[in-house]
Amino acid sequence: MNEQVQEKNIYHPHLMEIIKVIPETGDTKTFHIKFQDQTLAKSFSFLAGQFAEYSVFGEGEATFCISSSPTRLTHLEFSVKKVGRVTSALHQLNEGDLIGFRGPYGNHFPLDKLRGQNLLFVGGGIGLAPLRSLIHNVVDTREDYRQITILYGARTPQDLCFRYDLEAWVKNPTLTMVPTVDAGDKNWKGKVGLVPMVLEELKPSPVETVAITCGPPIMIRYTLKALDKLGFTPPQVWTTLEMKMKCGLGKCGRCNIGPLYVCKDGPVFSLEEIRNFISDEF
Amino acid sequence: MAEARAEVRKEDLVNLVQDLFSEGRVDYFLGYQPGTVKFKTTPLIIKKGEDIQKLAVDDYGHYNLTFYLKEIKGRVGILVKGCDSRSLLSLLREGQIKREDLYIVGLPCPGQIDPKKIAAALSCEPEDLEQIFRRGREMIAKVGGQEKTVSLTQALLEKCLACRYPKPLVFDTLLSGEYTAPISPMKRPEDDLRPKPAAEKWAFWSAQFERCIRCYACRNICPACFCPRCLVEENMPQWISPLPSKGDNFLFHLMRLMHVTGTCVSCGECERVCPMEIPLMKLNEKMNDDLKELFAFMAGVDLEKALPFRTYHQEDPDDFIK
Amino acid sequence: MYLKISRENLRKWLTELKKGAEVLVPEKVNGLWTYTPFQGQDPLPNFLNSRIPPKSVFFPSMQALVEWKSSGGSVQLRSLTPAAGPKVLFGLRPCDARGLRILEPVFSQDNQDIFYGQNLSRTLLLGVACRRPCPGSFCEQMGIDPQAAKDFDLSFREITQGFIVKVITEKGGKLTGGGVFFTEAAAKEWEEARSEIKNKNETLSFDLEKVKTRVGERFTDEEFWMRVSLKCLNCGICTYLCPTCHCFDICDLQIPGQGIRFRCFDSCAFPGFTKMAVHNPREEKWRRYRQRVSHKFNFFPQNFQNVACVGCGRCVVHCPVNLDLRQVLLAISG
Repeated sequence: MNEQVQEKNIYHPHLMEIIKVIPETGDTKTFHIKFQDQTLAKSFSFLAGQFAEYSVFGEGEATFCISSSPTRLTHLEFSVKKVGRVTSALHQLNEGDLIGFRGPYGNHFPLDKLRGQNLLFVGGGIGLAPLRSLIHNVVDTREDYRQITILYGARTPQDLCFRYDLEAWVKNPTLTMVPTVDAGDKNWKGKVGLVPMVLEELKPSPVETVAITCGPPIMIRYTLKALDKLGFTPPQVWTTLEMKMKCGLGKCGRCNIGPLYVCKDGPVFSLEEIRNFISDEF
Repeated sequence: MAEARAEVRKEDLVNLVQDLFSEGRVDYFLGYQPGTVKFKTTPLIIKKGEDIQKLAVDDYGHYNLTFYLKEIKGRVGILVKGCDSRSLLSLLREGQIKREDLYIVGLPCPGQIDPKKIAAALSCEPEDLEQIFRRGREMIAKVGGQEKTVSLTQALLEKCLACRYPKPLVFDTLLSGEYTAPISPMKRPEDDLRPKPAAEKWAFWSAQFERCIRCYACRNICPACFCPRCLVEENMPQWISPLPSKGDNFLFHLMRLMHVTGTCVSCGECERVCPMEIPLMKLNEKMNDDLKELFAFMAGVDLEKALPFRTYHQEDPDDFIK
Repeated sequence: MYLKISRENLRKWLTELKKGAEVLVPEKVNGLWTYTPFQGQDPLPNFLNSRIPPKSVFFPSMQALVEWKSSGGSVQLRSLTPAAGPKVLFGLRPCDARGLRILEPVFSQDNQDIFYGQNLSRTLLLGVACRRPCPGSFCEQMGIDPQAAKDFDLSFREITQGFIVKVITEKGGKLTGGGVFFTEAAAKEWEEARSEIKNKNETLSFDLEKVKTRVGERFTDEEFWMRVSLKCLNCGICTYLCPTCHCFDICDLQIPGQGIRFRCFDSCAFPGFTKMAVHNPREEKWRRYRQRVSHKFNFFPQNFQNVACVGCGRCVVHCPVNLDLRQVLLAISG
C-alpha cells in the first residue's frame, strides 16, 4: 500500500548506497552510488546533463548533476564541493552509508545537435562534472561524432578534478585533451594559463563545431567572450546554469529566470537562449 | 466638553522639511503620508526634489520610523514621537547610528488609534467602522451611519495607555503641539499575564506560537533587531529550523527577545505588524519589567548607563557556567 | 439548477454533512477569521474574508512529506500521505476559489503533487457571494466577479430568508440531494439575489491588460523598481497571505534515529531566497520586489495562462508599511 503512495509522492527519495568515495581535491569528493532497490537500478535511466536532488537524512537535500555517463549504468556518480551544510554532511559519509536520491530532473544536452559535429569541451574546476557525463557518453558512441577536443583547467595542479579521466583522455588517440592550470608547480609539465586564454591560443575552428562549457561563473564569462572572438555563434555554444534549487521539479518557485525554471527548462541552455533571457539574475 | 488637543500643523512640517533640503542638511526625510486603506498611515521616504506636500500627520497610527535607519544611511531627517525617540537613543547608545547624521523632528502624539480595539468595544468588525475621529477629548466611531462614543482607553493602542515619554528625549526641533500622555494615570492591560501562574502562561504562549507563520515582520520592523545576519538565517549549525513548528517558533521569539534585551524600548511595532495577532508586547513588557527590577535599567532613556547585556567585566560572576 | 435553503436548514445540512466529511466554516479564533471545523454554529456570521487564505487547507504552512527511521546502517523510509477523507469548505469567497484554481496547474502539471491535488479533489467548495468590498481589494479589476460562481461546486447568495444556491458541478449537486433541506428555486430568484458591491474604491483602479503588456517592458527600469520598493520591509506577509503564492522550502527535522522531511512556506521577498554558496542573484531588495510583481503578472501567465493575483486585498491591508500593489500596478500601466 505504501509503495503505491510512494510511487505517487514526488518528494519521496530513493535510497542509495555509497559504494565508493574518491577525494578529488582538498574540498571536493566524488561519490559512487547504487540503488538499494535492484528493480529500480535495472529500470533507471537518464540523459547527460540531468541532475538529481541528493539528501543526507536530517540535514537536507542538495542539487548535483549526475556526472557519470548514461551509457554506464552499473552505478551513478556525483561530485560535491564542500561549501555549506548539506555538502559538509555529505563529506562526512563513507562507503556503505545511505543517502536519498530524487531524479533525474531537468533537460539534457541535445545529442541530436552534437551528432556529426566536431565537439569542443571547455571546463574549469568542478565544472567538469556535468561535462564528463557527456564526454563519456560521446566517447562510448565515438563514431557518431567527429573531432573531439577537451580543454580543462583548474587553479593549480592540486585543484584538477577527475585526474583518472584526464589521464585516460590524454592517452586516448581519438581525442585531443588539453589540460591547463592557472599556476603550475615544479612537477607540472602541461600548459599554464587561464582556460579562456588557452582557448584563444588553441584557435579551434567554429566550422561545424559545437562548444560545451561549464565552470566557475567568471571562467564561463570569459570563455563565452573568447568563443565569440573565435567565431562561434550563440546556437553553437551550450552551457549549464546553476541556481538555488529545492524541489528540482518546478513547483517551489525558486530557480526561475523570468518564465523559465532552471530545473525544468534547464539546466542545459544554449547561449542563444541565454541571450534572450529577460533577466540577468543567475 | 474638554478642549481639543492642539493639532500639529502640516505647514509647519512641510516648511521645516523644505528648509532642511534647501540647506542641504539632509539627503532623506522619513515621515508619513495617508495610507491607501482606511485608518492607515504609511511611511514616506522623501529625497530632495520629491513632492514634500505628500507629507501628512493624521490621527491613526504613526509607525516607529527608526527601523529605516538600519537600511537608509547618510544624513537623514526623521519624524519621531516620544516613544520612537527612545529607539533613537538606544541605537545611538549602541553605536548603530551617528547623532550628527540625524536631524530629529519631534512630533506631538495624542495616542495612536487602534481600529481593532474600537471594533471589539462596539461588537462589530473593523471593516464595519466607517469613520473614526476625535471630538474634543473623546473618540467617535461611525458605524452603520450612527455615531458612537468610545473612551480613549477603548480606542488607543495598549502601549499608549502606559505612555511614559510623550515628549521626545532627543530632538533637534519640536513641532508645536501638546506633548502630554493621552491617559493619566497609566493603565495596565486587563489581560495582563504577569500575575498569572506559570502553567497558564505556558498554555497561553503554546497556543499563540502555534499560529506564528514566521513571516519575520516583527523582526524586520524592529529597530532593535539590527544584526546584518539574523540567527535564523544561520544553518551551520541550524539553531532554529525555518519550519513554523510550535517548538521552533517558541525558540525564535524567545531568542529574539533575549537578543533585543537592553535595546527594546517597547515601541509596540512588533505586535502591530503581526498578521496573526500574536500579542508580542506582553513578552517585551515582561522582559523590560525584569530588566528594570534586576538591573535598574531602562533602554533608550539616556546615553550613559552601562548596557546590562553588552557589558562585561573580568570580575563578573560566572558560577552559572558548569 | 437552482435551490433555496433557510439559514436554519443550512446549519442542519452542514451538521448532517459532518457525519461523512470534515466540514470547515469561517470562525473568528483569537481575533482572526479562519476556516475551522464546524461546531453547529451559524455558519456565516459577519464575515468578510479569512486572514490566511484557504489555500492553506490544501497547501499548509507545514506539510510532512516523508519520514524515516534509521538504525545501524539501515534507513526505513516511509511516504506520508495527504490527510485522508473528504472535506467540505463552506464560506469560500470567489477570489480565494479562483486562487485555488490558479494554483492547480502548478501542482498538477508534470510530476503531480498529490498533497495539493488529492486534497483539493476530495474537497467540496461551497462559495458565498460577496456583498461588501474587502478593504484594499481589487478583485473586479482582476476579472473576478464577487458574485461569481464558476470556481465553486455550489454557489450561495444570501437573501433575507436564507440563501439561493446555484449548483455548478455534479458532485456539488449530489451533496444537496434528497430534498430534505433544500427546495427548488427559479433562475430568476438567483438573478435577483445578486447584489452589487457598494463603496468601491475607484481611485486606485488600473487596466490589467496594460499592466500585463507593460510589466515586461518595465523589467529593465531599475530606477522604477528601486523607487517603488524603497519602503518594503523584506518580510513574508504579502507572500504568506496571498491566495496564489506557492513558493516553498524543503527542510528536515531530525532527532537521533528518526526524522521527517517537511515542506514549508518560503518567500521570494526574503534576502536568502536565492542565496547560493558563491553568490546571490537577488541580493538587492528592488530585484526581489521586481521578481515578485513580474512573476505574478508576466512570468506566471506565460506558463499557466492566468495572472497569479486575485485582488483579494490581503497584501494591501496587512503590509506593515502599506506598500500598495495597486499603486505599483497603476504606475506600471500608466
